[in-house]
Amino acid sequence: MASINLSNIRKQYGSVTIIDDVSIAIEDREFVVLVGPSGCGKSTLLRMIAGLESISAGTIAIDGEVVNDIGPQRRDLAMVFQTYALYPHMTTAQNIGFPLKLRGASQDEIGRSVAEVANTLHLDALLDRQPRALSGGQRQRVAMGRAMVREPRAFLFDEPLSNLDAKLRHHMRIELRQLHKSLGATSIYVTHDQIEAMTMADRIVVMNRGKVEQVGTPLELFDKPANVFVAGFLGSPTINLGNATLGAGDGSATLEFHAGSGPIDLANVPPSAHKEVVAGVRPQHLEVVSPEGAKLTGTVDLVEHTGCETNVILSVGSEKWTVQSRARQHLTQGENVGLVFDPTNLHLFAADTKERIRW
Amino acid sequence: MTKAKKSLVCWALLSPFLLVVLFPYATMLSTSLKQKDEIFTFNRTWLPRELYLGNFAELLFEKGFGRALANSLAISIGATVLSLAVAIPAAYALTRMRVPAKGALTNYLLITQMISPIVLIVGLFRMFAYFGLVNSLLSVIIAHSAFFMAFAVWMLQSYFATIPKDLEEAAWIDGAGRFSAFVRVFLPLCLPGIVVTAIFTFVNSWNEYAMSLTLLRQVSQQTAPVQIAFLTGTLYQIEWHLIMAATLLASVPVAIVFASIQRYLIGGMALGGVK
Amino acid sequence: MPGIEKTAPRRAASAGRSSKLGLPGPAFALILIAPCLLLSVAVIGYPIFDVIRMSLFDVSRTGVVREFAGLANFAKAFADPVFLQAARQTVIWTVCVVGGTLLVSVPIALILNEDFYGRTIARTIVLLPWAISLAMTAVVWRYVVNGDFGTLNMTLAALGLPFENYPWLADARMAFLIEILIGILVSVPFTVTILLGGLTSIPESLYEASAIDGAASTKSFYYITLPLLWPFMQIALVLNVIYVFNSFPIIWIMTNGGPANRTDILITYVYKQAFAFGKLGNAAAGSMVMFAILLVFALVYLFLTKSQGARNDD
Repeated sequence: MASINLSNIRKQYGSVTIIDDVSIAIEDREFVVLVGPSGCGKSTLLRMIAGLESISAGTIAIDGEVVNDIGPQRRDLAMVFQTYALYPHMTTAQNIGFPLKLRGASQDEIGRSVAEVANTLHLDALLDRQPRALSGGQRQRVAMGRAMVREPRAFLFDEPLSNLDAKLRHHMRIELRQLHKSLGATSIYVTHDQIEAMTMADRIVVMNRGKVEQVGTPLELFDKPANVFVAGFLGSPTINLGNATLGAGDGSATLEFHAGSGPIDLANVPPSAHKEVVAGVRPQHLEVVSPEGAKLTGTVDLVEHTGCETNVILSVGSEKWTVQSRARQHLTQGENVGLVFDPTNLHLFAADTKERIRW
Repeated sequence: MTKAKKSLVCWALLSPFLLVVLFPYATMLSTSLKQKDEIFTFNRTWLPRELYLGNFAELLFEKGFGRALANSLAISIGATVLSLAVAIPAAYALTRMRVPAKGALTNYLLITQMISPIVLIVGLFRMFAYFGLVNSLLSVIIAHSAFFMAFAVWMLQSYFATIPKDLEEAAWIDGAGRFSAFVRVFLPLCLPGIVVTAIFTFVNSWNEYAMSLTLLRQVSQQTAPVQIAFLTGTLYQIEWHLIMAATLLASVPVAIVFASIQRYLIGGMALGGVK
Repeated sequence: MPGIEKTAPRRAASAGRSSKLGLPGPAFALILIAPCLLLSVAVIGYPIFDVIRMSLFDVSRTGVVREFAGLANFAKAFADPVFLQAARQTVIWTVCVVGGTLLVSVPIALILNEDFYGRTIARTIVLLPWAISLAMTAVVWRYVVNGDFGTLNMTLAALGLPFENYPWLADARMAFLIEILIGILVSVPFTVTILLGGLTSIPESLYEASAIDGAASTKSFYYITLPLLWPFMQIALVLNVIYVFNSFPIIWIMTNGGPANRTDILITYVYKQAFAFGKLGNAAAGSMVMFAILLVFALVYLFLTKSQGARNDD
């Protein structure tokens, strides 16, 4: 197993910069998820680690050894592709055994290792089938098996679950996580799905436009997003954001939403000079109350019942906000309601830099 | 309209053309099974008097047509092997690698594919004459390869492009070198495409007339189509029964092979041609 | 040693540059393409050069290139009535064969695109002429239409028609017509293949949509099939012009350009000039004229495919 160090990685195609000065230190046995919207460079970064893309500047080191000029064959990493990339002309057993065969292992050895892996992944009954005779979930497992069989220094996953249906995806998420627990292998996992990122990662790297926005554990990122982008990217439904003015009150700060009707006392925030901010409250932290005397109000557009939860979609000024609650809400469209929240759950970002304001 | 009715209409509409297509085959078959006196007579019929196979025997054992078939076979196999040997790496590079001036290269190949060798036949003949290769099967093998290769590259390219790049990348990560991944993963997957291209090249080479006619000037080196045409021009009384037997021998096996790949040509080739 | 001193700093500098990965670069790609390119340039490029040279020089019967002759060879060719006649006949030949081919191929392709019993067999038969050497096709047809012993007259006579010994190839007009019909016959398979490819690329949902929109089947033919098939017809047209324009075996074997040069086209004229009369300069000039025309059509083809490729990318 191995640690992987990326320092000042850059990738350019002509004058277009795909990856811009990315540095990440991945520890041995860590499960790191690279997450971001499509086109953010996360897959390119993974492929650079794999050795499938050249590096324009910076260094990639595996266990302290710089591998920039080492081809994918000799990096001793394993990768699970989004398309699984199973060799269509080989059976399950041949697919899983292929890396060992390339390393000149004996038939016996290959047979034993394949059987072992197949047993772990419940593929025993499918060893003689070709990929086209397998279901999506089974193919996914074979791809995993091919990665596991030779105990590589690290696993790379390129959106491995995105071709599965929702139910299977959930199931495979748990299985992959358990597999990681038992193998303890360094893993780098690329996804655009924030739920996968939140549920699987030891640490998440949020990327946007070729840059790293924030690195941290899932809860760190959720509780203390470094900027508006991270706040907006993680969490479902999306965080509610509104422009507001931060002011000084009696021993603490006050917050007045541009769309609101008066300052709200923030007991936990020290008083500050007059400042333009973006304020964010997650839908789970908002509560619908009577509009009378409320400092923040909205008009109900739609009420969604998912069974357990109720999502109320409202217009707050020109913004669309969502309130999620476990209580069934009986609201009608067009109704005016007040909104309240616990100030400890408030996120504040500078209006100009979009960076988190800490206190 | 039921499918049965529709089928009847379709066949009826096609029948005039099908009749014209099949007429020469009927002629070949009927004539090659006849004896000489059945042809040069006034009371001719479609059906031969008996199933007479003597023409084939005479052709192969007395007229030396076997030699022509062997020449054709040698040239076609040679040209197929040579054109695929140069076309496969080129098509691989064009589909999988960054090639400088790729656009110019593909356009060049496309244009050469359209230049008929007959337009340059004088120059071709002089070039092979300079190297002393006239009357050598090698000259025709080289010439066929040069003119059929562009099409092979182009056909292979469209097959290669259907093989996901992921598979090779997976093989590299699994530890295969570039060449090993090509041989163990890429080649087996595009084998069908290579076979179709090979058959197409073979048939083209087998059927080619003008270059073989010009570059091989001795009877002993003639290919089957050249010798057949030659037989119609040299004898006092054209021995049609033998010639029809020869065309049958030289065309039916090739037609069968060709028919086996026709479904790959429709779609694949036409779409590739437009895109 | 100065060599070591020189290489050391270069290595250090390369760390800042793009990584190599041991992956082959553009140079290796060129190595893979080189054999193909070399073969093509040698076997196609050199004859082009040689033909251009011969067309501009005085060339002896044995092929010795003598002094520069400017456009004299071309002037001679254009002054040759046989050349002009062959040129005229080439236009007739090309227009008739290509036009006839399209006229025959479109309905055949439309029928073969329908779902009916035995379609695979029908397709195979239609494509059959493609599989056979043009030379052998010409030989067989020469026998079929043979006046005394041919199977055509035999069949017509059996049907009671007065063609007992009609010599089809003796009359130049009739001979040329027959050659044109055979030209059409052998061009149909390739054309049908292209058109069928086009037809199968039209999604069924378009017809369903137009049926729901209330279009009758004749209308959907005009508004859907024809416009979507048009690019394929253009391609088929240009490629057929290119192939038919210099098609050699049919005419060469059936009539050898005769009688009295009345079925000669440019390519048979050039071939005779070179290999029968030893007028290499004349032949080269004729070749050049043909080559130039061919190039124009090849460029038209490139333009057509490129503009359609661009449209498909949208």
